[in-house]
Amino acid sequence: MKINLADRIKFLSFLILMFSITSVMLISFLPTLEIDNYSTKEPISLNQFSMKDSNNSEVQDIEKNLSIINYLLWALIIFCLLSIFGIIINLSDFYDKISKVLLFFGIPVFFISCIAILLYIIILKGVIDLSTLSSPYLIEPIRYSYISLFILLFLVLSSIFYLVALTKFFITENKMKNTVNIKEKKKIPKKKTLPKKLEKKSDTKKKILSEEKQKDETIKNKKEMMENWLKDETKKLENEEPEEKTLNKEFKKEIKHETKEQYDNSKDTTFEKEKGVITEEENNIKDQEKTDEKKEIKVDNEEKTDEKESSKKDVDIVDKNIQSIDLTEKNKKIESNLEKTDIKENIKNEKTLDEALDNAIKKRGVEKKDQEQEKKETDKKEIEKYNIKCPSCSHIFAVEKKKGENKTKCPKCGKEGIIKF
Amino acid sequence: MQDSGEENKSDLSFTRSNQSDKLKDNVLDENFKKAVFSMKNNKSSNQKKGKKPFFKIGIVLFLVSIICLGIILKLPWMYIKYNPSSSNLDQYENFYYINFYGGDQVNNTVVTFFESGDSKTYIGIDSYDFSFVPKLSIYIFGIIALIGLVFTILILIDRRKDFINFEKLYIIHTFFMIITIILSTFLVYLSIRFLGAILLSVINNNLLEAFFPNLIAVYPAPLFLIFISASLMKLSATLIKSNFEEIINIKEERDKNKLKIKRS
Repeated sequence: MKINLADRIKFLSFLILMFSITSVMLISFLPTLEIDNYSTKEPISLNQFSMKDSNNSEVQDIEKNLSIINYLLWALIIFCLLSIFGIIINLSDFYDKISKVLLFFGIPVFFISCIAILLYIIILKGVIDLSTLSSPYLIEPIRYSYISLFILLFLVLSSIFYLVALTKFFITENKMKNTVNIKEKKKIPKKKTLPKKLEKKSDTKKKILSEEKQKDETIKNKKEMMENWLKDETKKLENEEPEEKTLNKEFKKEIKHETKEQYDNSKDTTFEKEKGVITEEENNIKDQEKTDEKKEIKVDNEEKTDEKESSKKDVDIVDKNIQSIDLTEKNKKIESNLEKTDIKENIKNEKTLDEALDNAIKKRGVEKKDQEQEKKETDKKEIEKYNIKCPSCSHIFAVEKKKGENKTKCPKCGKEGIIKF
Repeated sequence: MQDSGEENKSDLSFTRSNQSDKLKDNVLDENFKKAVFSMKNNKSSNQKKGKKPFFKIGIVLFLVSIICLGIILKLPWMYIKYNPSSSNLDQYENFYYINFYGGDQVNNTVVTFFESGDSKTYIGIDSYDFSFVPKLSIYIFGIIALIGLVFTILILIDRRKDFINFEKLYIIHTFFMIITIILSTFLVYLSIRFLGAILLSVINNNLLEAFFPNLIAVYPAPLFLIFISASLMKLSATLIKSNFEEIINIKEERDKNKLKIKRS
């Protein structure tokens, strides 16, 4: 719409420019007056240039009026050019105020052209009415002055259209600006002048937003806590010597006690199971050989000492295994802490967003891997170990605890069996 | 203590995983926004980076004005063909700018032509016009040449340093063209009196025959000036129109881009 109007204004302004230039030229060089020469008794045709040195006062007055028309037409030319320049600037959206000022020069075009044509008509009427002066004919009844009058009429007509187009242009521009301003204004008061139903909704929204803010704050606090904890842990780990990575004595004792208790429990259960078999055998032996009691006591003592020695050996093996497991767990913890600190350092060192993005993607990959490892560890944890004594050779060995029936084989004697948990 | 530490660890690990995801998402969003912004910038820069037109009108104006200056000095301002009463043969005479400019060197025939009768009232011009109009036209052509030179220098500097915007360049171009239109119109107005003189000599032929029988006066230099200045006017007007269209095209492209951005 705006462009179409601008195009129309441009066309009309060029039309006015053309008419005004031609009318200036025609008024100045076409003969507008005819005076009777008394010496030769033949009329002399005069144009604006030839009127300047005339002795006749009436001719001089007409020349003055014609020069005023010329000035007006020159003003029209300049105003038209300025308005064209203003339209071009307005379309470029650079100097808005200057363009408006320049476009305002187009408004007086209509009035100037009206004044010019009125003046010219008055001059012509005066010339025709005067007895001593007249307007020369091109071809009867057409006079030379009519040509310029005709062009001036066109000028006035085009200036009317030009004024209409210019006003339309200003109105549309104002409307456009008003719509933009209304949109901008509407955005702010909408919150203030909401109906009650919408106000309730907005309240709930506000509540949600406040809750989210609180959550964010808590997350921030937790993050700070985590960072502090990580810092402390890393400091501790850095301060710790490599020898100190071994287990404390107290912790060792606890683990030993636990293992011994487990062992004793298991031993009791196995002895209870086997007691029945042993008593039956002893009764038979008592019936058969009552005399060889001393020998039997000796054999029993020897068996007990053997069992004690074997149990001691087993406890040592278990302790070693536990120590190794604990050390691996500790090492893993240290590694994870170090990784966390490394990640933090990397985040600090990130300079650009691209690097941050790359790191984020890498971290995602690392985290996925970590999650997978954690899952595997949890699965491993689920598979608990259990100590079992072989019924044939009485050797104690560790067996993985799994759901359902599990086949086992004694590592010492090679006896196979099924364990139910 | 150990239990509490483990709980803290579990809580912190959970929050860390959530927050790290959020942070990463934020980073990704920021980078995406950055990418979109850079794409927009690239679009706008592509518009700007388009080859700037080299307006040759400055050079044209400079050359035309120099040629016209040469013509003003070399081409005769008045050509007369008359038949004096003493001889039956027709006489031809050319009057140059120098003939009117130097007061002492003025030809006798010119003096007789302009001072024997009331020439100003018969044809609308006198000997003063022949000295005044060329002088003014020389100044005007000098100004036009200067405008052309300044404009070409400005464009050459802009080509090197690229400090003028696409639209501003068109605005500057139109400004220079408007000045040339005004100057060329004034030139036409100055030299149109000679055309009027020809017309008046035809209309007032009976009166002129009394002083100069069989007189034919032609003004080649002013007519040429009218032709040149009119063509300059037309040229500058067409250039203004083309600038107007170019600016409209730029505006339409800008509006389209804005719409695209809004839709996106």
